[in-house]
Amino acid sequence: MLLQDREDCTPWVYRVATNAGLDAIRSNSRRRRREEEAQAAILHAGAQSDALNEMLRAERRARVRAVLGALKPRDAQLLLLRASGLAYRELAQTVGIQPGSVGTLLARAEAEFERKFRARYGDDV
Amino acid sequence: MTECWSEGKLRAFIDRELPEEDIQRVAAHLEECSECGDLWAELAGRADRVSALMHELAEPEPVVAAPRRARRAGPMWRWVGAAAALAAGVLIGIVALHKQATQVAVAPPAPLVVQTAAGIAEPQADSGTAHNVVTLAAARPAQAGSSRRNRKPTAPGLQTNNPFLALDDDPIETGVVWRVELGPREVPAEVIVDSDGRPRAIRLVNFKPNH
Repeated sequence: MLLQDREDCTPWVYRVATNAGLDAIRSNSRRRRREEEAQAAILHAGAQSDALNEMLRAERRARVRAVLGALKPRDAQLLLLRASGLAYRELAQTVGIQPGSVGTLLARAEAEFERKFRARYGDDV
Repeated sequence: MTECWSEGKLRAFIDRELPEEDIQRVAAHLEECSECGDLWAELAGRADRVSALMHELAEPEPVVAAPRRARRAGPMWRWVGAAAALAAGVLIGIVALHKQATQVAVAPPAPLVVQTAAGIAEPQADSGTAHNVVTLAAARPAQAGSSRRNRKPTAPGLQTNNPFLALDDDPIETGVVWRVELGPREVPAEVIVDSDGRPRAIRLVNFKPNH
């Protein structure tokens, strides 16, 4: 029976969710095309300033996703789940690491994220 | 001078994820050790910058609307998504019943049908099933910039009504919201799953820390 043998399947739900998201991030071609179409539509639809702001935001989001996709899956999961508000204990349970290691691994993931971001996009972090 | 602390402990200190006595000891040490102070400043600055970038992925807040009556007529394809969402809801309900018997934490007793401004999925009012319609304000872009930067979680679970964290850029047209409880503290959270069974967004809801 699906999920029956798990003591607590919520880490599983989050793991599946973030894995699916990371898979989507890595399927770049379709997403890039959609982003370009969306940006073109925005430019034609709204006021110019709103369109520009939304286009810039879409670009920032694309950059964040691109860098997340280039990280090790565990690092990307840690950053995504921490940003969604999980405490260290829940992070450890979800990702499958020791609670005492979360600080170290989170610091490393953030350093790697920033390093890759700077390497791709310069100092605009 | 007191002992220096590792990078991991300093990172946990930034998030106040250490025992209270350790928080006091780290704070006292930072007063007297410039090396650790510099490392702490570097970690805190990076954490803030990365958090701000991660929150660029946040989605607008959904607005809960009152249940409405289903349309009487419409193209058949409009019902495909709704049927899939309702089927997923029933499946989740069955899973929830099994899990109640086995003490598993996911418990979505009343799945929510998610609807965007496109208005695709509406449950039938006379179906006998209690559904709430959730309308996503997807057409309106989220606040960007400094307001997002202020949403960095500085302590576990301090946020309430967190925005959904989108897992991809596809528009969310229909789907169900899984209400789940995380970990031993049973932190309530929601996962939007679309009609293909794909998780699309996650967030914590109305969570207040118990410490």
